[in-house]
Amino acid sequence: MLCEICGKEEGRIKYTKVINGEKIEFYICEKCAKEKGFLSLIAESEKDETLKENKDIHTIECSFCRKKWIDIERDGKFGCPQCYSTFRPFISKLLAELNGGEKHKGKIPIVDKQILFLKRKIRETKMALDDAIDKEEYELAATLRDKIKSLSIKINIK
Amino acid sequence: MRINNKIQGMIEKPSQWIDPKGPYSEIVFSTKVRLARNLQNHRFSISSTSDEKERIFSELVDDMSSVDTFNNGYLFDMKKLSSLEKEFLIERHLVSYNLCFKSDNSGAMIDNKEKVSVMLNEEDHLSIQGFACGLQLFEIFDFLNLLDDEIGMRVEYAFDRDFGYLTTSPENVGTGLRASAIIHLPALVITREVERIVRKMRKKNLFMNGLYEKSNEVKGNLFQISSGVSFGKTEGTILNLVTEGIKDIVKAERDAREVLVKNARVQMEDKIWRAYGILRYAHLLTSDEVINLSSAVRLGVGLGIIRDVTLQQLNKMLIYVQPGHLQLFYGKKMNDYERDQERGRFVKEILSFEEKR
Repeated sequence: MLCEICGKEEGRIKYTKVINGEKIEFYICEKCAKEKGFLSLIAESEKDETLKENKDIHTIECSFCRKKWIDIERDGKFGCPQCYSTFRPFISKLLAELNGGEKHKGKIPIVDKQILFLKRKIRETKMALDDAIDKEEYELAATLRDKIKSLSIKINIK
Repeated sequence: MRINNKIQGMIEKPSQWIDPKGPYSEIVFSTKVRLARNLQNHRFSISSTSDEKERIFSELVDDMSSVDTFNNGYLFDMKKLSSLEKEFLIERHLVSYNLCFKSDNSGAMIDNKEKVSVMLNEEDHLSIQGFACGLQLFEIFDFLNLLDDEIGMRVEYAFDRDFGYLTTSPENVGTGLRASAIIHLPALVITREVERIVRKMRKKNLFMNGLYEKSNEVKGNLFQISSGVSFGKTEGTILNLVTEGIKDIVKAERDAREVLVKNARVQMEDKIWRAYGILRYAHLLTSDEVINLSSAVRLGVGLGIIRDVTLQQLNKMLIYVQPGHLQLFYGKKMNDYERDQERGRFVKEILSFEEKR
């Protein structure tokens, strides 16, 4: 099938365009895709087009917050940190369009993974402890309390 | 009226940043730097449940309470504040309207000098803000950066190598930094040059709008200028861009003041002394009136025409004549008329004018 835009090259990429709520599929060549498709994804003037190669981007959903790209485009807000991985290529383009930057150039956080790990452990253990006390499992509660104590000591040594 | 203990403690003393010590403080009322941060293992505020936000809030408070900055500081849980108390914090520029009235399980941690305020569960989990008087963006970033490190060692920030600090809005991703200032531009307004300045700044990706802008009317000739998107640049680049932009504006304002002094001295002095006269002798004052009049008096102080009022008094006045401050200061709820009356009296007290009635 020839590209439905230029009619010259072979239309290898399937695009889905939603026009007035109706889904229209068509095939275009790579050149036209570059020229029209991907960039119009970001352009504010045209609301309805989008698409990634062979995949309807409207159906991709972030597994953590359940947001779809269409929600993000509409609200201009992401739902969670994981959205950035889920929609990575689209976000790269969006950011490039917003300000021309390509990559983060600023500060990088100082992270002590070990301490953060211990902290998370303590928090989880505390929740288990509350639970044990609620259920009157005092033996378990005592063990958990000791565990919290030893985890706290480890943090202080670090 | 019952007032929250911590708020009561704040009423007596103004925030430290109203002290006009910084560079250009006769024109630059205040500067602010904000760092937007989120937690790695949680959904952003807009998509998390109320329970989740409650957990995030208590985790953050728990982890941050050991940060030295907040020793003897203030912790506010917005659920526990009255709307008057919330307005008080907004009037001090310490927290946003959205944090107080549009967010769920939100709060703020503020140091006892009110140089730092960290908003919790606003649009982002953490909004780390620092304030100073005059043009001191780099100075603010110096202490904010250390605080950010301290917090970052206690909680796991959402960060991505390519995208930087991850935020709810695409405009904030990257450094998460926004630098802004409140500037007083009476001469540029009178000479009608401010429009040109706004357009010039826009070209540099700096955004200007009236601080108390309502239906396109700028009150008190006060403007806010802020940096735009924070991605793909270093913190230093952004701070420098805004600093240089503000220096340009300061220069333009000073030039415009010179032109006014040269070409319209009498008219200008007349305007300044009229404003001074009303603040000094009027019995009823609305807050809009005080904001507008104090602009002329501020100009008079800046030009050395008025000598018995200081910038510090004017800064304090701008904050304290607002409804939240006024009512909490006098410890009673007041209607508009009562407020205008107390405000009339309070202005004289702040400016140390003797009462003549």
